[in-house]
Amino acid sequence: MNVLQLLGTIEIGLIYALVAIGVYITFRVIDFPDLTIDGSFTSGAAVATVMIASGYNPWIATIVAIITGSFAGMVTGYLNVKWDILGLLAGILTMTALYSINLRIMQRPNIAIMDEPTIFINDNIISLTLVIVIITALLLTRFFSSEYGLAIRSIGINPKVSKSYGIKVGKMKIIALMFSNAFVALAGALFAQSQGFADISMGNGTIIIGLASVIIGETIFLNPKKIFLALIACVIGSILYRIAIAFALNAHGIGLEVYDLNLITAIIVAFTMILPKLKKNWGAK
Amino acid sequence: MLKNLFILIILTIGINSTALAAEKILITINQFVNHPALDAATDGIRNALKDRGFIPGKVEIKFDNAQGNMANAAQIAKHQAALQPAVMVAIATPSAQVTLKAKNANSLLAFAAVTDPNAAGLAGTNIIGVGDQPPISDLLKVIKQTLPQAKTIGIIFNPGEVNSVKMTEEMNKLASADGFKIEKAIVNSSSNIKLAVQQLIPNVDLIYLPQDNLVVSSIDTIAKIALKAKVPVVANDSTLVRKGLLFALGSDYFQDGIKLGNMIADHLSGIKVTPNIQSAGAKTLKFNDKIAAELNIVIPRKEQS
Repeated sequence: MNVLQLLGTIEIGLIYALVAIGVYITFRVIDFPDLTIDGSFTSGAAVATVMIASGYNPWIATIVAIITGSFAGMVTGYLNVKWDILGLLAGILTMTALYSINLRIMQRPNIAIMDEPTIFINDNIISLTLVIVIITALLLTRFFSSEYGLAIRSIGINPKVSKSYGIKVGKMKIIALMFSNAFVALAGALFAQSQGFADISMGNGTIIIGLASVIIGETIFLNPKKIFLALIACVIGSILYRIAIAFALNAHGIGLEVYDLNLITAIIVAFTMILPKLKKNWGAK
Repeated sequence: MLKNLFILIILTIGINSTALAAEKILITINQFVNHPALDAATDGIRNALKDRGFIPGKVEIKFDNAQGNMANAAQIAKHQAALQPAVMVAIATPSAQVTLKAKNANSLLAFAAVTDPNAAGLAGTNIIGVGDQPPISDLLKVIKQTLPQAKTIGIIFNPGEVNSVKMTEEMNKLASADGFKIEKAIVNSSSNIKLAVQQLIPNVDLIYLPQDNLVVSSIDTIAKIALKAKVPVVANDSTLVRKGLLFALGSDYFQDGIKLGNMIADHLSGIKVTPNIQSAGAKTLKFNDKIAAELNIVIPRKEQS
């Protein structure tokens, strides 16, 4: 792999770091298996692209994309909290509905913004995304240390005790879902702007990428308890996941086929996660 | 922990930086997903390049497949662009778009299997491609000759596929102008295809299938149900005729690939490619005699080419 390839890998890894952070908030902080994000990633891409194509300022387009994502999270939360629909199913319902809504937003399955101005100017994708990711991590760390944030964290650890302390569990769940999907939609908006188009199938498989990134990060950082470290673990995890794919893309020479891409990626990811345990076992002997 | 990370990154940079040092022309191919039509396009390109003397040894072809994932497609495009290839081939719309963003100014983007290059934003310098505008108006002529009593055309399509939507719109426009009525059935998963066909059949005289990945992959189901109800099925992809269509008129993706392969060969030999976006041109009309016999339809012999 050469340096340019590494830069390309880091660029996509940083954008998907926001997805990993979103997944971390639902899966880890409030312990909610949220599948909405396959839809809200595309929503973010769709809203940003359509607004940019209609001549809006790309920053405003990105902010509206974030708000759209948070609404998607709110719907999933509302279905789950108010009507007691199983969390997994609530997410699937919203994701399914979002497919049609995204098509409505875009009017066609693929919109190009190759020449329109985006928030990225002169190849500053990596630096600008890095700044956005760091600001996100700092703000979230701050938020999760506030009284409000601590309340949200408590419902993932023990909802019953939280409730007895007077925390509104349902409300906190909805807020966490809104945060999570807002970041995923932001990732979608950034991805669409960096690639110059939005496509209705852009979000397919986002949940898998996000989940893998979170778990890789956690394994490498040995399950960090501090929220800032956990968020940084998400970022590193996301980049490592991309590096695994880059390895797989370079593996053609040694008898592996192009079509083995997903298999090789899965093996590398699994190996990354097994490695710390192996080391521990050897250390114990 | 951080030390491990550091070692990993160093390893990543080290590995393969020695490869690809030879003085060969490098051509990269970024194919979006595995699909008979897209595979045929890639095969066509390889064949044409070989026929024009761009054999292994003279060129090196690096082929990657995103397996249908957009983030993978984007990463592959960047990965390939970093190798400074002479030509970057992209098969299908999303691959062409990510490649255009990733490529260096002096690499050539060559795309195939893109129905609407303009709407996809595939414009600029150093871009060539084969658009596959299917001959829908010609297909309508064949429909009128072969099925003179037909009044209503049913279309099954997935609103999430850009090529398919474009063809459905085009068919809707042209057929309506010709006095046909159009009934559309929307599918977004292979599980509701059967339902869509059954819902269309009582109301239509024939079914038209656009070049839709989802619909085409369920062609067997569609053809079987329609044949049972004696409703003919037609399309613009002649490779599908043996699957149970009555007829199809169109260029196949293999021919598109051959065309693009020759355009690439021209470019590499220093011949200027004009216009930079072409269409395969070669149209073939194929009938399925067995289906025609079952439907009691007489094939106008002179039309067959």
